[in-house]
Amino acid sequence: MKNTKYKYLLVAALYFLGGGNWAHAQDATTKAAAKAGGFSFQELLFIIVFLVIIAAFLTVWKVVSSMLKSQQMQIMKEQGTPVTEDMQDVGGFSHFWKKLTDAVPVEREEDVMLDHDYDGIRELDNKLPPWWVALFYITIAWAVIYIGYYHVLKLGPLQAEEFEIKMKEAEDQVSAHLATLGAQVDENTAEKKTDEASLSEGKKLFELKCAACHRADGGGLVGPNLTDKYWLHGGDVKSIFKTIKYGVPSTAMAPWANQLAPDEMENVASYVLSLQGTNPPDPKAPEGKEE
Amino acid sequence: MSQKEQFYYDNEIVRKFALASIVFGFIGMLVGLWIALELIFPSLNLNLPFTTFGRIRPLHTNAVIFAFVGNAIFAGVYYSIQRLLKTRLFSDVLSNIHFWGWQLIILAAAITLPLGITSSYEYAELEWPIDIAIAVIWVIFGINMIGTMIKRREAHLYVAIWFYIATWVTVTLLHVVNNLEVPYSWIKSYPLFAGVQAALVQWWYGHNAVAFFLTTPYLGLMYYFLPKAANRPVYSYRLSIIHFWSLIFLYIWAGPHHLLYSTLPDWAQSLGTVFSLMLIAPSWGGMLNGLLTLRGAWDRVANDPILKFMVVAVTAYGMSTFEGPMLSIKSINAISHFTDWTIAHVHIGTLGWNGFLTFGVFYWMLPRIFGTKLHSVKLANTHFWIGTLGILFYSIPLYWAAWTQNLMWEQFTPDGRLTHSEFIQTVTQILPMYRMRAIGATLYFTGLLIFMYNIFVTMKNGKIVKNELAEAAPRDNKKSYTGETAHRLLERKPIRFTVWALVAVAIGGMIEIIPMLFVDNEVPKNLSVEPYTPLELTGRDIFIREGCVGCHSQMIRPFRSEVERYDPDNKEYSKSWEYIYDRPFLWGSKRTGPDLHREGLKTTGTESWHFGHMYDPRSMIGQSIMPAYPWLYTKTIDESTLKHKINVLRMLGTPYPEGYEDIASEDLHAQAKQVVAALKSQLDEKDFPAEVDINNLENLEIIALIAYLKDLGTDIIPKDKK
Repeated sequence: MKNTKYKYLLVAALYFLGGGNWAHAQDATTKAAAKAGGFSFQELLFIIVFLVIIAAFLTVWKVVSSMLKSQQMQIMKEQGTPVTEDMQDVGGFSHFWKKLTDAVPVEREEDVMLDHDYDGIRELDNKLPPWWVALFYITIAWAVIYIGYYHVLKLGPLQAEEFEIKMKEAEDQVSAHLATLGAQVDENTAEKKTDEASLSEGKKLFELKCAACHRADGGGLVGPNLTDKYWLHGGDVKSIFKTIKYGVPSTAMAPWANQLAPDEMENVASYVLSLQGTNPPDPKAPEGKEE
Repeated sequence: MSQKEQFYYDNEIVRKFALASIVFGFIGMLVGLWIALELIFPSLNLNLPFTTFGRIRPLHTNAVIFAFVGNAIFAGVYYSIQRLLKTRLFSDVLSNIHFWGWQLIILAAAITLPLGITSSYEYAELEWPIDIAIAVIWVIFGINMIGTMIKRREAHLYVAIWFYIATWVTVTLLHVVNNLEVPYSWIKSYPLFAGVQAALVQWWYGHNAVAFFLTTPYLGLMYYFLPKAANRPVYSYRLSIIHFWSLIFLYIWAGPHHLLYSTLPDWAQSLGTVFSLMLIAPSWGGMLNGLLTLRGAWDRVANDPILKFMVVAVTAYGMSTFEGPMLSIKSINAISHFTDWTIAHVHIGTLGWNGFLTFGVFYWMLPRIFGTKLHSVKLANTHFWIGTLGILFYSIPLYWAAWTQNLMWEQFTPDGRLTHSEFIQTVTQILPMYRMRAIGATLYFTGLLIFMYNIFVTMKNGKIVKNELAEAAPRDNKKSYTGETAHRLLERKPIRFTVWALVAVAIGGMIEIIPMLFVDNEVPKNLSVEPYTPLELTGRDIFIREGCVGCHSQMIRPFRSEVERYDPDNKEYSKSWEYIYDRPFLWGSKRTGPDLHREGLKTTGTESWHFGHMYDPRSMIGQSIMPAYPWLYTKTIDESTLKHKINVLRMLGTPYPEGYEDIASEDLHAQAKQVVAALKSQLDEKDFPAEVDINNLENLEIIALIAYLKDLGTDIIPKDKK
């Protein structure tokens, strides 16, 4: 471990290791706390991708340069030029690379050749690549820290607690947002829209959410026919809005307030009213009171 | 030096397994391409049960894993082990029983899976009679392999053989434990374990099917064929030892990473995470030893398609064994799980590592046993490039699709509603990626056709050398090996080696599984779990038969986006006690459609909705890619095994009262009548499809399936509110 470059690598790796844990902590704590603690999850991902790209680039460079070099040495051999020792060591990168892999060069591989011979396959006894050993130790350390953090010291929230935290956080955000909005349209203030934009949005949502039970043309299937003058729960825009919003208990009509925004429900209600008198083929029999 | 002996290698058995691998590879990948197309064109199921996604997706996975890869393993193992041990295989009779037995098993799988006879457990779908056959044939393979070791002429076992040994012991262990089941008919059974325990055992198996069927035997093949093809010494013997033992010891623990954020206890999930992370180095040890063996041969890689296939295979192995641990980190898994990411990840491994290594090995080995040269190096190069493109076009769109879909699943409006509240919106969005994937699959398949042509012409040009003459000196049992290392000693002792490998893999399995058997699944006091009624049970078995679990999970993870989508009224994620009577468990691992765990609580999920939806999904959801199931509307409920089902389940712990099996049929019909009554109250007579016999509704399979779906998730409602 005398080599300083090697130390830098370890420091970087340890930093990385810490990052991994912060990413987990961030899942559980608030964003503000995570910002103070380290990277966000996206930042960590970005760093990983970046490092992988760098590593890939270095590997390709190394492979290409060693291929070129072997080619060159081959040519020199063919031409009878003696290959010098320093041919094998060009620049700091090679040196660094050697430290990382600790490999005996191909040219001297007989030094580490074992006496094994299996159907002509021979085995070298190169040392374990130091970077690989470091990687192994780091993952083992990470495992110990992870289990220690979550299960021995119980510092991090486990998934049930994490869920509670997240739900609370979302609830606070939503109520803060709702507070900034003015009064929203409701069943008392809903009005029948007739403009093209509102009706076409209403149509889109109707086809997505309502058509399965009321048919795409509103002629009724499981749910009642919406094109005739008969209504079970009121046929004015405010009543229809109310039916959409709260649903009808103990029937298949679900409350849609958690899926549609108030103005969306108003648009759907308006679109439903626009279907009046369209007389689709083969409709469901009338239900409810004529209005 | 003692006198050399002459003997013959058995090449005929190698040829047989290799041919079987190629033929089943063709079939398996064709089925894969077909189901990829079914996701784009749902009508490609031809409205037939036997060709519907849920039934033939397991056909694809079983065919490519056990028939294509399996036969390739046996071909490669039998070729290499004779040469590495300098002897003919232990017994020609066992070799042939092994071959024909394995092909019969594949044939049985190819018949039963389209018929819907399935345990529903991924990569363990085959039912109990076939499970027994697999165990028998696998043991025969083991006897033949270890027998060959015992009569070997070579003193030491080479690293390839270590991997073969680990493969054999571990697969035996996994297969037996995961298939503990009690038959209720001559072809069907219920598993011993239920719910969360079953899930742990199944993914302990499932993950290690990847580890010990797709990985360790292929590492063995790599260690033989790559140095042979490159004509280079293996880079590091030391690395072989360390990465072999660490790999098999650590791999077995990693299963729970398939169950992150499920109801599996946190400690087991965390073990899955950390052991997966620790697997990077052991896995990469294999990759390094492969790639670094090519030092000094890189100039040949550019010209030799065989080496190119091997290099890409080993690189793909390195990529997926880096990606796997990353996906085991909980915050990343939260994104990837249930999406197409899993599919993309697994195909980097299978198309890249298994597929390309198989091609490389066969291109190298088959001309040799046919005493000829490869017909066309140029075609092999074409195959290489088209296959590589195929892998890229297969995987990149799926990664993109997965990321997109997950973001859509999780997206909320500022006022707290799901932005894409209908699941179908997130499916429609990624359909273009599915189309791209089908193009990638087609490219890869085209490569396979080129490969087959090239290999078949090569075979025609040559002539099989059924028995290849070889010579070697006999093993000298008296030779002393003073001063050898402990591992070198172990390499001379196949039985001892096998025992140690078993110990290494048994530890992780035991530490995870045994405590799980005592995990508390206590039901909260104000709640109750009702055993499935006979009708629901029948419906559940239909759900299993049709392979619904291939696209629909039953596991709501503790995320806001999941409780809001799948249980908006109660906002409850799935709890482990809800599954105590689930044999088999049906958590699923992929959501091509929505989760169904609380399907029974959906207000809009009326009897008539399900009735219309299963008959023609697009009549309810215009853009749906779900296949239609018209046969459920004419097939009647099979009650012949109902009694046995109740008895077996009671024996396993479901609290049906004594004697209930005798009135189960009555109960079934009473409940069916209720479902039919509800259906008729919701639909006019004219709304029923013409082919449906309205007077016989209560006997139709669809009624049972509806009853099951309507029951799903209802146990989460407190007793006083039910």
